[in-house]
Amino acid sequence: MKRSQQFYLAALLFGVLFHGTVVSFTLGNTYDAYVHMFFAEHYASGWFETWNYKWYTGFTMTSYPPLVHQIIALLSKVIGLKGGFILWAMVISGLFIRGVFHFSRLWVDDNSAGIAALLAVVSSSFVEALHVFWQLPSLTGIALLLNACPELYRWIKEDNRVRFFKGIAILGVVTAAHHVTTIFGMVFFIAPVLGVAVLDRCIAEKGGIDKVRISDFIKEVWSLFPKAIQIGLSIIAITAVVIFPYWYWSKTDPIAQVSIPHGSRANFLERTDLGMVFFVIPWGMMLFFLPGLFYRMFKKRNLFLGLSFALAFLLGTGGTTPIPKMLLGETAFNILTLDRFTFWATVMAIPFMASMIDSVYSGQIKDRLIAKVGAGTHKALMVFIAVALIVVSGLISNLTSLRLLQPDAIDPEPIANFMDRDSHDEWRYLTLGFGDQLAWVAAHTDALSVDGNYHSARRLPEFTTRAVERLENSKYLGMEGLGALHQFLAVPEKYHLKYIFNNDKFYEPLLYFYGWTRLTRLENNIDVWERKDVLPLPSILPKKDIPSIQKWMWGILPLLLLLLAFLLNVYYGRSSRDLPVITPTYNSSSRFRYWIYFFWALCMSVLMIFSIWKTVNKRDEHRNPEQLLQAYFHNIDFKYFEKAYNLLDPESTEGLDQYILELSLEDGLLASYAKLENINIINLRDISDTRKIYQVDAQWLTAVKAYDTTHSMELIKKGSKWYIVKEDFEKKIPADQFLRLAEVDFFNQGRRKATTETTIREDILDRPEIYIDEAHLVERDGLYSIIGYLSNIDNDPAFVTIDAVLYDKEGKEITSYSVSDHIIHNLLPKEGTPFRIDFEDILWQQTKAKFPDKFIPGVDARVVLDREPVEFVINVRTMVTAERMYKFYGVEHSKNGKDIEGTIINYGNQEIAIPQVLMAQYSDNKLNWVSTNFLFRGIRPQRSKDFEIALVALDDIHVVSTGKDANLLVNSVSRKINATSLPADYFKPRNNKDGYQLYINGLVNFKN
Amino acid sequence: MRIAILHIVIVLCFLACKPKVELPQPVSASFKIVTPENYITAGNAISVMIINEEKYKGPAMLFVRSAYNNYSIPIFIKEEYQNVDLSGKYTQDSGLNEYVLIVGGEIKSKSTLEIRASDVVDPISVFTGPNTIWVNDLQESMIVSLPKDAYGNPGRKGDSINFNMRLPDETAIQNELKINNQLTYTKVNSRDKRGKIFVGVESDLARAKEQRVDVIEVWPEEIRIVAEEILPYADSRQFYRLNTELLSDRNGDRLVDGTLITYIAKCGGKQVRYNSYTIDGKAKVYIRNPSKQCNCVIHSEMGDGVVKSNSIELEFKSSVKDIPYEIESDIIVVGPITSYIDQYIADGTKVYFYSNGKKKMQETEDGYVRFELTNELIETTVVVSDKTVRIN
Repeated sequence: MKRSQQFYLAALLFGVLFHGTVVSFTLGNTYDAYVHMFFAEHYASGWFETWNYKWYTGFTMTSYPPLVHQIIALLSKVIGLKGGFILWAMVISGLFIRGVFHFSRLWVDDNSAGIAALLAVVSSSFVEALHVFWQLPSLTGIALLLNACPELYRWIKEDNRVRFFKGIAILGVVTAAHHVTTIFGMVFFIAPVLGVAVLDRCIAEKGGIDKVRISDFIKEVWSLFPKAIQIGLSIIAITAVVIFPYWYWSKTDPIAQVSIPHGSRANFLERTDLGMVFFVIPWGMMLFFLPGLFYRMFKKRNLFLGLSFALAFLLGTGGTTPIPKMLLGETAFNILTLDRFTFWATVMAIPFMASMIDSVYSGQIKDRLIAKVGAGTHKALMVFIAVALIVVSGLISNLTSLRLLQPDAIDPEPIANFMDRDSHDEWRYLTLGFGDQLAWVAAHTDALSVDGNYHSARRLPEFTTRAVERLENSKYLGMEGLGALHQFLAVPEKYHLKYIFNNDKFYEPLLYFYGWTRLTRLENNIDVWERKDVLPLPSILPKKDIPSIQKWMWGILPLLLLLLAFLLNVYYGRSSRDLPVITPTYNSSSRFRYWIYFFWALCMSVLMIFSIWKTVNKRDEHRNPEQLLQAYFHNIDFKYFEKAYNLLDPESTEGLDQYILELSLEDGLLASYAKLENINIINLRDISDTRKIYQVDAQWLTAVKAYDTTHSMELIKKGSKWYIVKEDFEKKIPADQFLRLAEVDFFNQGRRKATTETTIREDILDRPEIYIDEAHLVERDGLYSIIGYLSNIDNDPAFVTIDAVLYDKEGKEITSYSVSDHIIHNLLPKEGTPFRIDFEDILWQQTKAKFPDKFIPGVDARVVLDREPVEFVINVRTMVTAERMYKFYGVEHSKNGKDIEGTIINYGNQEIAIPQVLMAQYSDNKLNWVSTNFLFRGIRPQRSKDFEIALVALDDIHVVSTGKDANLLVNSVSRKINATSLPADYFKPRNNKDGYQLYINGLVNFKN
Repeated sequence: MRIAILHIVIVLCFLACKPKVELPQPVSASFKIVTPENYITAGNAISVMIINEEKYKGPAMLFVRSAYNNYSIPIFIKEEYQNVDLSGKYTQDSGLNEYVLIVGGEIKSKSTLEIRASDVVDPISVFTGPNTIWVNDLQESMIVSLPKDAYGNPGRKGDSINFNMRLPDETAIQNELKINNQLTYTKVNSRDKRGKIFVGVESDLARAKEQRVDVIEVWPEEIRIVAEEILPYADSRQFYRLNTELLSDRNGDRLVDGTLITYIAKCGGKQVRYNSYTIDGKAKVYIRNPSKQCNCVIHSEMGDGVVKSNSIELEFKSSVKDIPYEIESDIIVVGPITSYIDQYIADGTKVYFYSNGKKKMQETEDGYVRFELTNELIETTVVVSDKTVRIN
């Protein structure tokens, strides 16, 4: 057996074993694996069904080539979805290695091709694509494309017609797996291969490349023109037919979408973290060999591939230079993920990298190295390269473990069971904080979600008009993400959204203050939140169907082509029996070239060492005050309390336990529900060289409000290290040690009889009666709101939500919206609440061009109406609620100029995690404005917290219209129906001398 | 592409191969349908006679059309007077049933027969709403029964349905009502006592599930509050306890548990507003003592001032007795600050230090605070709660 064959077989064995073993560990932490399994599950449960109801209110499966998903679906029948996925990944690893080996034989000698096969196993880009991104369809595409290239080469070169059919059949499979690979592969792989085939014919005819002139090449191209046409038309035809339903969909259902930002389009010099992921890691060790790679690929024979390589290299640099955008155009640049170009460039470079390594190990470079630095150094270098390749590959394959990209694994079964029982799947659900595991959950249940993880399938304007692929990670998407989530939570009826599975505490305040109720905690520690009074889904849901013939094509052709390609390749034998291609020798007598190689490798080494040094330095948190404060706030943000404690001056602390105790005592928005957005560090004064006072302005983002906090911190230097002097903890202690408190509790039986059938009439409670005391349509700075006050006049506790509609002077509806967090949603009997409804632009058509980067809750989404509203209708919907309510608090307040200064006192037995202050402002005893404020610190039992709220200038507010009985509805009936039970005093005008009133509400995490 | 074309061809072939439909041939003979009675009771069997004077022999179709269903019964006519026996599902739908004879694709005769519902059977469907009504006849509820026979037909017109009610004041009411327009209904007034109204619905042979209407109390006419426990020092730490007397409406019915009561106080320049709710008719609250000596005027409210209580006035004295201090080079030590029984003032009490127009604040621990002196002592004072000490 030849050495190259030995390498090749060793690579196949090692590759399949290595990747097959590692994938089992990386599967759960990667980006796309679960999405592909979700798709596979669709085919497993309905092979010919092309409509999927589960995400985004429904989408068509013909929007993504089906082959890989169908293969996994088939395999899943035997070994399950994960097993099928892993098995196919192993097959693809083998096919990729095979493809690299045969593709390399077109450019380098057999020995180097064998080394290339080994390099394919540890290729950084392949390892990253497989183990970090899990782009299985794309990898299937490239693996098969590499296998198709030699077939087409042989057909052109050797006129072997069977090779043509083999090549085209494989390309058909590529299309069925990942059509983008076929389309771009034509440019980057097929065209250079065909070019070199033509060139090789010229070389054979003329007896050497030096004798080939451009006119000879053109003549040869002309003579092969029919073949070129044949290939071109065949590829176009096969691409068109195999995934015809895809083209049909993209033509007939064009959904204009705002593109999703992708890190590969960033400027890697500015975003070095993204540069690392999308440039440095995929290139890996190849970066040290770049000059040699360019030299080899720009040899006269390899010029076509060299140009493809250079182009792919350039496009892969993303937004670092304006060139990729100029080359691709604005639209394509914003749609394509550019890391694929880097991936393709690295694949093109593998043969030449192998050639260089071959030269280092046994060729000209080896001789030069031994001559210059001695055999020992050369041997050390050889070991270093081999070890480095393996270590880098190992590190990349474990990247998802070293830097977590996904939340901890979530068992989807409890969620699926919850949705499948008790008719819960008659409503839609949403997951928050699940990462890509939302797809895994979706694969386990038949219930439908408003969210999804496949941006091309987004159909709702709420998604397509903004760069939001999914709501579950909206906290990372700034205004667009959290703004979108706010709307989905405020108007859940529109989407039949009733259940939310929350895995991120960050969203809890938003859910609570938007009127959602925490229902239970599942066995997998996921909280289930429910919204009351949401209609179930209609029994028939809309779908966009396609002709049956297309469904048959979609279900049959991809696998049929795979079978055909497989049979053809098996029947017509292995291409390793082919005669070797005569490839150029890459030896050079130029000393200058070797100096460039050396200089480049040296530069890269220096750069690498400098980066490591800088990283290590940056990690020295005590190095200077700025790094110390940055590190402290970072640790607090990520709840690394022990690390934060280590940054404190030991003399100012009373031990880690005391520090942790103090932190754990008090809940609150900032302590538990906030994400640090930015900090600004200012040196206030230097007490001495070793004692400094710093001011830290921190910006926090919570789901309901953005906060700015200011901290004055004293720093002290001991030896060469800076420390933070710990601030005093609260000194006040409550008056009493032990407390007795009587509480009222409620319980709603639900269905009194244990049955899975629909709730019987007798078990449905009357909707509590509410009286809307007053409501006004007001205008402030060109924006309209409805403000008002309502009371629960019933004897049952009530959950309240309000829908509002605005009308123009012709009585036509302008817009509608629901109340969000400017209300107390859960009211005890005889409790009242002010409310405010702002009108947000659901479609966000008007404001989409002006999205701010940062999330400013409740402000930026307000809609500027195109017609002036003159009238309104509000409908208060109520339901009896058994939610535990905490009302043991009071508020002391006084007016100080334009501010209200006050204190909330918690006299009960639970901590108010997030206190909310609703302020109703009056003018001439008439409600003029309602605003809401959240205190960023919690209030423990028997303690208090101060606050300060600015009064809103009422001069800017104009009352447009005041509600009357006819347009103030309670459960769709005029409020006057409920007036009969009210005492006469209820309708007496009430005097508010202070011009404002405060109402307190709070999120309480009940502990007993 | 070829596969696609082939597929299309196959589909077209299938479409072209639809089975041939044989059309019936017209028949010239005349027929008549005769039903034997004016009406029958649902579920009884009848025999429909087809008069075939021209002695036609051949297939025919008898359509039975009711308000709820259509049935087609294939028959073969061979006799001059042919009976078709109908029973089971063909005679179960109440209302006017129509019989249509179709021969040779043409309607040859029609006849009608009234089918009356049979006796009402269990259970009688009853609908009640609203299920909760205000006492004192401020609201009424309606009980509607929809009796049905064994075949699901609405109850017979004129049949009796009894409504038996038991009111919270233990009176019993019986109403016998006749079925009209397929239903019977009655209204229920709440009268003047809170509680549950139970309603039973029955006929001779059938009954319904118990119906319940909750009668709930109205708003109280007055609220009275009393101070129960108080430490009259303005330490901003202790809580004083207030309670209401038993809260009930004008009928003497106690307010439901969980009714929100708000306590409002004016203490010095501050507004104080505390929530509480009723348990067993009383709403207890703990209000924190003010931070400065003052008189607090307190009342409670229900429904944002709809019903207001009496006001009570409480006097709170200063909790600060003495504020000693000592100056040590660049530090001023204030303390031990003592309170009304010479104890340390409560930990966490805020101590303000004003000097040269600047303000600093510290909280006491074991009666002491320390301030760094960075300037000369110009117009320097220390303020604790409502007491001020000038520093010289």
